[in-house]
Amino acid sequence: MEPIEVNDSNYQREVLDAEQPVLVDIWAPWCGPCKLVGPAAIRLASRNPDRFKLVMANMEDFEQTAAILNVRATPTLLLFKNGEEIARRSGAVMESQLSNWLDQNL
Amino acid sequence: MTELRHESLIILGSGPAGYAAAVYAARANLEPVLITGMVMGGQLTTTTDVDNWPGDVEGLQGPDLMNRMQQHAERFATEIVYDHISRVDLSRRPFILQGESQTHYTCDALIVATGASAMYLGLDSEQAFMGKGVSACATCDGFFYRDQKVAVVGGGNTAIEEALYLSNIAAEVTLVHRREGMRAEKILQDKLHQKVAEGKVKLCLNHILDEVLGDDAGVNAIRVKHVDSGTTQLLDLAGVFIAIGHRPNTEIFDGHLTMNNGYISIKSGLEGDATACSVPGVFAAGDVADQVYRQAVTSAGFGCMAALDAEKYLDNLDA
Repeated sequence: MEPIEVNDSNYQREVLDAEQPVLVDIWAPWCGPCKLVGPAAIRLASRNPDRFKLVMANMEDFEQTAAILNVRATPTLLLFKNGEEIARRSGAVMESQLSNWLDQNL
Repeated sequence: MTELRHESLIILGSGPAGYAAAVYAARANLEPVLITGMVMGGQLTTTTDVDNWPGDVEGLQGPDLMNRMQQHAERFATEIVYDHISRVDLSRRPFILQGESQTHYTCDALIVATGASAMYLGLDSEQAFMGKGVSACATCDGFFYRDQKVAVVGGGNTAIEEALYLSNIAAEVTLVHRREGMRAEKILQDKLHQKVAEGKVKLCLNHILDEVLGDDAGVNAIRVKHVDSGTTQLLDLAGVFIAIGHRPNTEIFDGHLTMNNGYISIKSGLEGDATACSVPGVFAAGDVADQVYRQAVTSAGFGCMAALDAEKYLDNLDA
């Protein structure tokens, strides 16, 4: 399953207006730990596609939205439900920890 | 759902020590399995320029070097497993390792190359603003501070490299260091002083970070304190990068292996088995067992030694 790319122009539609919960993975090409978190999020999303929608936000195309959301680190994971941010975490994370974090917050 | 697998040799860690051990062990037909740990590629993945890797005349990027090391290990058929070991039992044979993925691994010989992680000061305010203005990775997060003021805390190579990197992005970088002198390489100090002369970096020596200040939007200032007089001052800024050193990743070996000052003790010396730990069959390499040198090239050297030591150990088991 290919995750949706989200950027400053489609953020409203793909994240805020989405009907199901949305996990936003904010990453950057220059960020080493992001290369671990992204694939882990993709694996979790593929295992249970109905549970939440995964979108990937490359900081290069997400600068304005990141500023509005006050994101100041990569990787940062945001969880949205009904257009509201319900959880956030920054930094490297293993797949199992990410899975637990989703269980706690979804 | 627990999976079980047995290997002759397992290597923990994916920094220079782990990959060098993998290359040597694979070429000895030990069919090593390398378990990457949480930060795949290790500390070098959060750096930029590596200018002291012998043979790379023009320098190279830390993440590129680690990609190349991974490819090198894979070329000789090392199996790379993306997992993080959270528990070990070294009191019986084979050794037992429990992964975050719920997989249980067993092995006859183990090379520990789990490296070290960035340390924090331990302030509550530092923890509270993590990811909201407090960072330990300038290359990851420097982007967010374009034309803003930032501080770097520390005086070693990492701190100076981060200050230099940020000086090309941020409006102003203040280096906060608790001493007058720095531990960083002289060539880096020279570069730093050049940035000071250009007005891009300010030095705040003999000061410690006392408190991180901010609001819901994140960090907006830090309070620094003079180490002798105790006088404090506020610095208005948007981000603070903590680069005060690294702590060896040895928690899971506590009570299993003999330690020295938090680092794994190895035999050392000139009689061979230099990387042997207190439990026969366990070897350690790189920052996890080195509180002095801590370089990519020394780690790689120790990784090679650990592979050769493990090879000898496994040969003797079969004999």
